[in-house]
Amino acid sequence: MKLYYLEKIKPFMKKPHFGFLIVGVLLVILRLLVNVLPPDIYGAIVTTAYYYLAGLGFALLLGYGGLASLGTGAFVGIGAFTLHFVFRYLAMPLTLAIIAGIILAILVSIAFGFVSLRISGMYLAIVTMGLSQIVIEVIRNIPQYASGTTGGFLSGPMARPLEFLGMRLNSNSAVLFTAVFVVIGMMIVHNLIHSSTGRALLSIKNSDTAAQTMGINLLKYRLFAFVISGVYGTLAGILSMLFVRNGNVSQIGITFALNILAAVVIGGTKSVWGIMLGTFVIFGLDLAVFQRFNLGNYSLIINGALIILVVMFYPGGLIQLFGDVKRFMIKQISKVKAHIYGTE
Amino acid sequence: MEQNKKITPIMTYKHGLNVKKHRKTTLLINYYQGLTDELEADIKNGYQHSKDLIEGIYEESVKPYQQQLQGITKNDATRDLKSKTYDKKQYWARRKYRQTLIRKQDDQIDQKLLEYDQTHQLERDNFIQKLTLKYPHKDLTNTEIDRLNQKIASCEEKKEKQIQRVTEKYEDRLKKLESFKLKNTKRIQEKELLNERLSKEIDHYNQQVLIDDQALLKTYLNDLDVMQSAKVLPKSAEKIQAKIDRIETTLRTIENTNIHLSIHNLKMFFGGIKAVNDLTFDVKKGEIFGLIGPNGAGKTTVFNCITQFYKATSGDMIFRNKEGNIVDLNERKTHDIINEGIARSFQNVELIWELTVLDNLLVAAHSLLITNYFEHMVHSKRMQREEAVLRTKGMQILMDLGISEYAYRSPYGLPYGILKKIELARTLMTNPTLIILDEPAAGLNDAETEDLAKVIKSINHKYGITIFLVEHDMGLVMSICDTVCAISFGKKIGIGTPKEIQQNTEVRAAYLGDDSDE
Repeated sequence: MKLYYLEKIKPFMKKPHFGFLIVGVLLVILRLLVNVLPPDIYGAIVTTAYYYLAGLGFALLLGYGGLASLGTGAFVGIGAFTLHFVFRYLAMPLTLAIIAGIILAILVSIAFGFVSLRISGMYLAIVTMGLSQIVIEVIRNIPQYASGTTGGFLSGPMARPLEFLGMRLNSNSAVLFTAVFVVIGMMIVHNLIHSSTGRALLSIKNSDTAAQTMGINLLKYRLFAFVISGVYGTLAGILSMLFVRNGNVSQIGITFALNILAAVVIGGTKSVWGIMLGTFVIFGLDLAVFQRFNLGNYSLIINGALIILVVMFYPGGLIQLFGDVKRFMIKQISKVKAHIYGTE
Repeated sequence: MEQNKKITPIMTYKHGLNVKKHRKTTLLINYYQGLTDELEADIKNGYQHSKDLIEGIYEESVKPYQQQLQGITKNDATRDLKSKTYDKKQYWARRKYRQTLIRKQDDQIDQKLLEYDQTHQLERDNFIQKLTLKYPHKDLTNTEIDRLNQKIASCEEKKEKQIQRVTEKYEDRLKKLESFKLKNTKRIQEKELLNERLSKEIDHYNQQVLIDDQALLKTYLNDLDVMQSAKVLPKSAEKIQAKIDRIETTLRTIENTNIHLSIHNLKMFFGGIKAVNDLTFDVKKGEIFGLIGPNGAGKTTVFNCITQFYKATSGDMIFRNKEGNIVDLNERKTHDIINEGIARSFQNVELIWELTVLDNLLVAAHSLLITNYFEHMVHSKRMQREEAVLRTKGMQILMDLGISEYAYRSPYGLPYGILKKIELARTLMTNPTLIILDEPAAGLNDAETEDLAKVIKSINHKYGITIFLVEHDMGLVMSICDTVCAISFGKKIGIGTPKEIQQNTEVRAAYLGDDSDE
């Protein structure tokens, strides 16, 4: 037993993947505590969890590829409304609906990648914004199939409750899906950024020309980054649809894309944990903290001020805060110790 | 007239695929060859590791029993522990007392401390006495000794069992290794056969191209004659002439196996500016070739044309690639150039500051990867192994260049001379046959330049790599180059050994100004 622990479990526990697994376990525990926790905190955490996926995908694009895209909202929309459409109107099983969403996302993100092939910087942001607007308009203008503004799965003419493997899924059980996807998503992003692909993306961000002389195919990697971020965004949309049960086109516009951008920048573009923090600040803080203290009206203002503070004092992201706090604590403790006991 | 069928685009496409596959297979063969050794080492190390772990667990579990047997009974141990904790507490209390005295700025610190020590020594003695009363030393009875011995024996038995199990596993794995070795050699043979077939196909294609080219050359020459006699527009004649030039250059390069890179009539115009005009020279295999010229002479433009950042306006660049085949660089894409065996460095260092020096080298090894995205996503064993191999290779190169101590830190803030060397190491990472250095000595002081010259020479010597460099530092160029080509305003004004160039009047004029100006 002890041998097994030393040989297998201990090395695994030292890996970062263990931390990701813990996140999944915590989400599952959260599901079990649903009756104990206040609903607003529960909602805040789940919302953070699924938008965190969109943030992760976007971080790969922005932090590693250096591609500031504003098209995240379109992919969240694609995820939510493809699920809605395929499950409700085509009457397919849930798994198939999810797969259909992912495939559509891959196709659309390849289109995004091709359109923005030779563009970078501000122009890329504008082009992707336009593209995402097209996607959103397409969703908005086919109300019969796509728009979720009219309601979720149980209202309307072709009501169909969400089922997975013959079991009826209630909104809270969908958190289990979130847990699975978040763990897998974190692992994949972590693996990618610690591999040749991540380094290749970084080198493209650093210098196109140098990357090309080293044999890095710009087109291939740009498309890859777009596809990954698109699939992650779509997963976020799917999970949001599973949890909230109805989507709204107005939620996934440019504001959402900017929110994701803010989340990634606040958290720290190069850290898997930092993005989680940033997403919570943007999407969860309002529900979990401000509204508790009746500050809901000021939440946007407070959030804005917070963003300014973070960008001013922690340009590398909020994740730096932890290191700083730790260092500060160690320093303070040693100071107090020296005050009481003196130096040897 | 033409007996052989012409090269079709489909054949060209297939040839491209073949070349790619050939390179990948070569990498795979290398990978498989290393696999068995590594697996063997892995198995042996794993066995040793588990054995050590078992031994450690055994020692740990047996230790208390052995201590008891040696005469330190349970009571003794508790007494020891309690007295130790007491001492520790007293130590901190004394330090606290002393600090308070110091803070009060007491005059008789030493005396008070002495008093304190004396009282506490008494307290301690009392405490120890109480402890000895509470936990008296008892000798072990025979039954107890027997029981302890039994426990030790059971522990030993457990250990033996575990070791046996591990050994069985190890032997099992060794057996599997044998079958794996067989499979692996088979796999290698298969790949080698495939490679042979591919290289034959590639050779066949190349010969076909050669035959076609020779035939084409004849027709083109005929056409040109006809045109010249008919006095048609000079533009179409020029086009034919360019085609003839290309074929002639190719043929010349094929004939003369000494030529590594042949540049013929290279022209690069930016609008009305003629950055490079009719430049012709050959870089021979294994030499250090220097390209010199005053500022704005178009040296870097030549480099950018070779690496296909700029598509040359006209002219031919024929290169003998890694496998010894002749390729026209104009037909290649920028990111394919490195696969042919040309690596380049940049004038302003293009390193990634976020990564360590070693990781920067790994980025450069991108063309040597055999893994794809999906393996990167799941961190497959193959990818981990590949990374380890590349890391060792990078480390080896860093050691060769004498900068291995910087391997695990960011290049940010390192001296410029070191950065230049890292750039050099990065070009070496890709197994090139030709390295293009863009002003390697720019921004270096004399000592660093001398050092760099030595390094460049040693690379040229040790790895047998042809080096093609652009440089302003005449001292460096004259001391290390075998051949020097001087250009001015995009035109060649002299080529030859450093001595010849030094005595060339035109070169002197270009550098020092025209005689007529004086």
